Amino acid sequence: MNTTLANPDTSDEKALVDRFLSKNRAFLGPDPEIQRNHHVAPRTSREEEILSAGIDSNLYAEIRSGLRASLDETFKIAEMTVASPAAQCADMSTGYFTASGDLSLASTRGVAGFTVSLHYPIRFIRKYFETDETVGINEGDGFLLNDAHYGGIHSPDQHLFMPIFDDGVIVSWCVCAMHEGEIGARVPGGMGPMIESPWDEGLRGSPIKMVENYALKTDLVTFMQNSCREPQTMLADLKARLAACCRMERRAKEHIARYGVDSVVGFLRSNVEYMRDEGRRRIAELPDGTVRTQFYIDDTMREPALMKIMYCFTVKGDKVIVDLRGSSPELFNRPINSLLSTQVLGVAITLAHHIWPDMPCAQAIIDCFEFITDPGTIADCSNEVPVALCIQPMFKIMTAAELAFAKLYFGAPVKYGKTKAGWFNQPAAIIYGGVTQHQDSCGNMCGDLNGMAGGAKCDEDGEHSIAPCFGANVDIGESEEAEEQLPFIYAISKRIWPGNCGFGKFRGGAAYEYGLMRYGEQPFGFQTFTGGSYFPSTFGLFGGYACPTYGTVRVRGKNLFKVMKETPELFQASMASIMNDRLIEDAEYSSHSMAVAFELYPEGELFMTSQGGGGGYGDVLDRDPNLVIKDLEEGLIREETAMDLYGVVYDPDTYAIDDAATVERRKSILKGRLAKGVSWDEFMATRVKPEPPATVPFFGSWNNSEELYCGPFGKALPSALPPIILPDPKDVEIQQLKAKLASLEAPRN
Amino acid sequence: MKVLATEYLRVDLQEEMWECDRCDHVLGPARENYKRFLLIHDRNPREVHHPLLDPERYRFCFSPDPEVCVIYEFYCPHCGLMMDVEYTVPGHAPLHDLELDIDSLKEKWCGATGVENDSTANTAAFRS
Ligand SMILES: [Zn+2]
Repeated sequence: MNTTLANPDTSDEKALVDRFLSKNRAFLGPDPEIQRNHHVAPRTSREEEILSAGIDSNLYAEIRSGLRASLDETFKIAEMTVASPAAQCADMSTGYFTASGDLSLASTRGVAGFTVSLHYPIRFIRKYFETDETVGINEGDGFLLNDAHYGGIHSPDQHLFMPIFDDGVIVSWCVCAMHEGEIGARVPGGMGPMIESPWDEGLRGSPIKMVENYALKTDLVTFMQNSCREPQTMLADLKARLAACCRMERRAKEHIARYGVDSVVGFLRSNVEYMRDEGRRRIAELPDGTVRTQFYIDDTMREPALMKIMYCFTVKGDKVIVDLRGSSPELFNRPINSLLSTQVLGVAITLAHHIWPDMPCAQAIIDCFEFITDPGTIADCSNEVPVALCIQPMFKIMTAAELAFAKLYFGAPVKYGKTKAGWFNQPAAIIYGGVTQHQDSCGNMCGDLNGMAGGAKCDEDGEHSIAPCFGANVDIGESEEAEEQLPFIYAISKRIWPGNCGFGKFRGGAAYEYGLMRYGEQPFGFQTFTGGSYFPSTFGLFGGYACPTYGTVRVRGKNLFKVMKETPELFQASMASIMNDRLIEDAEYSSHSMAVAFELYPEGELFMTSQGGGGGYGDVLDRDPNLVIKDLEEGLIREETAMDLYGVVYDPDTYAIDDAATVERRKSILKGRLAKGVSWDEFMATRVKPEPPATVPFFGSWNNSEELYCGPFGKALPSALPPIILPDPKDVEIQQLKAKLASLEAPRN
Repeated sequence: MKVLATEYLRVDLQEEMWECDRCDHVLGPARENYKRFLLIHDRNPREVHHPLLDPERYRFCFSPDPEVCVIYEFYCPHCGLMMDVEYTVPGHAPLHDLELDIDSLKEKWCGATGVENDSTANTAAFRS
């Protein structure tokens, strides 16, 4: 390696040209060779040498336990020291990788999804930085990443990688990965409807060497702090990640000292291969077949739209083909596009969390999956469009995979988990930003995001607001803690509203509403970025209904703290009562979709929203009438639902079931179905239309059309999609108002 | 032998026919889309998901918008059992959601030896 320190300006011309040609690449952008390959790397010659000599399973099991304990230990260290509200709710993970970057082992708790998608940056660092003398990889280095184009889920996450050396050679990598939140984007918290370009997304951290000799570099740390709204949180979390990495590195070296480096290297690789081979074996076990699901993202986050995402899973032998063609074209100036790597990640997480719960979460388990896409669509977007809300399409593929494998496994001889309906699948959290009561600048997310409801199972109801679709061991945080740190109170906290679950033989879990009321004089505001306000977001299974829709509602123009103090009887901690009864005079009541752009709210204004329910399982008429009455008593459903949908007859005062009348009512509902149902041919002739409805812009394939609909831009083949640039809804409104004004001002005859 | 393909849909592997698991009605050839043999009803989603907020007052009333969302309900034509529901956009064709490879299904259940596994016992195991 050339380590000359001479100023290149003094070199001779030929040396300069040679150096230029060998060293200069215009831009080390995201590398498609890396980013579009989710497969396990081939064995290195060292791994080959070690593993071909034979494997001691007992020894490897011992190493696995030891390293797992280290990951859980470091997870705890980080969890107890982080400042990011999401990471405090366990929205983080720690992991060990092979030298090539394949995830071998992740912490038991937290969100393994982070570590699952981090082979990309490790491969990038090794490919481009290892031999670059201005960067290099040395013992005690730490690389920080947040830009999703180089790996990871989305840019509000930040991950610190540390190489683990033995005798001057990289033998492994460790990472502490977490949702940081505030990254200096156009809107607080790094996500939001108003992000319209990649340049609104804040810090675009390609892998940066932030740590040398086990210490954070003050100049870079200062730059990071200076680039975001939460400089203290940024510093605290960088330190927390570094502490975790230092401990992981130390534990790995202890294992190397104890078991020998070959055993540790051999274990890391063999664990990856085990996951890869076991995934393939389980797929080979399944009957071949194809399962299709289509979802609609119903909001670009600025305007209503119907963006189809098409998911077709085909099992053939020991392979799975995931075909995403037919999905909506990417939107140039809206944040709901996703990278292919994000979709791949969604499948891996789902398999590990919902289908093969006994398997570790790693990319290796879906090594036998291949993905087919139309590049330039929201399931595989280009690098030119914003991806700040890529979790929208990612959560969709998670539910698609969940439902696809529920169906594929139902008829299979061997299963690994219970069949269940769709988990709730939207980031239904309020994002806040501004100045706190402690005079700190801030911008982050309420832990309520994690309060997603579970889908109904084949033999029991789903759980209420239990955990996010992407991680089982995650918390929603304490309201009181948030109130201490931030200038709002939870005026409504975790109240379940009737109907917020998928109905069925077994119902999906219900989900809660909550309302934040601004407290204090400082500038502070809220936003939301959730789909599913027009069209349900998650689905039921085998006749079970979907979750309902929801929205954001607000009471503005009045300080409700004064109302609470002077006329407490007028304030009911219930969204429905507040909005339907409108007891507070002179206040503005309004409802919106769950994609609400960031705005400041003065003291005493109320911002309310809801988490989403889980999908139902099976025919509603199969539900035990006693369970229907229990739902009524618990406020999970309305009387009309119990009587008309579930067909249960009961005394409305005592809730005593009339069994005979219930049987009769259910019989009559069955008869009614036979009367109103029509045959396939009649349905196709009378209900199916050649074009999508004109009421809302439609994006994607319609009835398997080859051309993709492009909303207001007509339709086009996937290879010739027009750039879809949508106007600012405010401009549209201004134009409409101007036209109206002109028509009113026009001279009348 | 007969294998459950969904909670309510059964495949007779010898006859290669879809059957209703509730009433034993034979629906049609198992190599075709099972939805072709069911009754279909397009239902206004507001009948199922009642609004939480007053729909006269609020556009967003916490109930699906019938302009963009319709529920297709699929019933057994003999007993009325609801085998599937599909949420879709009004005017869209029903989705061919489940297409099992019948030859592969036979092979997985009967295997090379032809010894039959018990489909219902397997499902029951995961229900207890
Ligand atoms: Zn039937």
